[in-house]
Amino acid sequence: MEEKKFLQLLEETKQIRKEADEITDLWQDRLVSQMVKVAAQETDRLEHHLMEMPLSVIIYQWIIVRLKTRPWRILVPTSIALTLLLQSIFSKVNLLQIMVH
Amino acid sequence: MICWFKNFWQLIAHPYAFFEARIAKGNFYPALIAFISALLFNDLGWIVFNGGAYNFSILDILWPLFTYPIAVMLIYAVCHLIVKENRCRSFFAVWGFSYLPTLLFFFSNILIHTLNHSPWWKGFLGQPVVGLIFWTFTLLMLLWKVLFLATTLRLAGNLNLLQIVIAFVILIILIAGYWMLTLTLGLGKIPFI
Repeated sequence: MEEKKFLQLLEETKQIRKEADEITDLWQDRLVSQMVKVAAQETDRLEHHLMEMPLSVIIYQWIIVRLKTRPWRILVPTSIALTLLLQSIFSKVNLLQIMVH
Repeated sequence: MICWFKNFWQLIAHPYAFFEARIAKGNFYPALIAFISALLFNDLGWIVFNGGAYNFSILDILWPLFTYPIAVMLIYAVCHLIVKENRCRSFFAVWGFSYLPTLLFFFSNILIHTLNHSPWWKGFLGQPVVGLIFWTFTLLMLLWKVLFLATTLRLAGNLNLLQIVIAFVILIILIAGYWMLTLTLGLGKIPFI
């Protein structure tokens, strides 16, 4: 009698576990799909926000972010460009001689 | 020493975060060390450019000593004129670090001056590429100093972009006046700020 009851309870437990697994799978699927949906919405919103921004603001923000960490990525090309510009303007003058004396 | 190199790397790679941390700590001794080293190089530059002779007046020695507090007070005054929410201590905590580009600039100047007066290197310095490299380095140091000034104005002065531009315009006028004064008094061709 006891054995029969035990087997019945075991069967019920297995059934409950199976149902619980199904529910978990279902919720996981729903959660993932919800997360994907939210992420897509957020991406759309950001893209829309970015498209509305003036180009000057985007460039300014990009420069600011680059200057905050490893600023040489901006400073070195800028100084090279400025030197070449100066050299092209004062092509007849030896810039080094001006600096040294 | 390791801590010093770590700080040095932080200052080069992450100046914004480094200045933020320094202002939060409020300790200005490292800044003072940076200033003193720049000051020493300034005087060393004087000796080198005067052909090894220590023939300058007491004003030449004392002038750079006062430039650091004067520069800090000047930047603080300009910021305080625009925004009231700033403390003078924050400026003292970070402005000294801006002497690192100054120090490197003086060092490169002394080096190039020494090379120029050496007979072995005369041909080398005549090459246009040497001038280009030297000018690129000088402009890089200038831009780096400008970046430090902008960061100081942003973090110590609590200024926004427009206010930083206004402060820059005022400071450029004041620096031009200071430059004229140093040229008139014969204290140097380049203003030590």
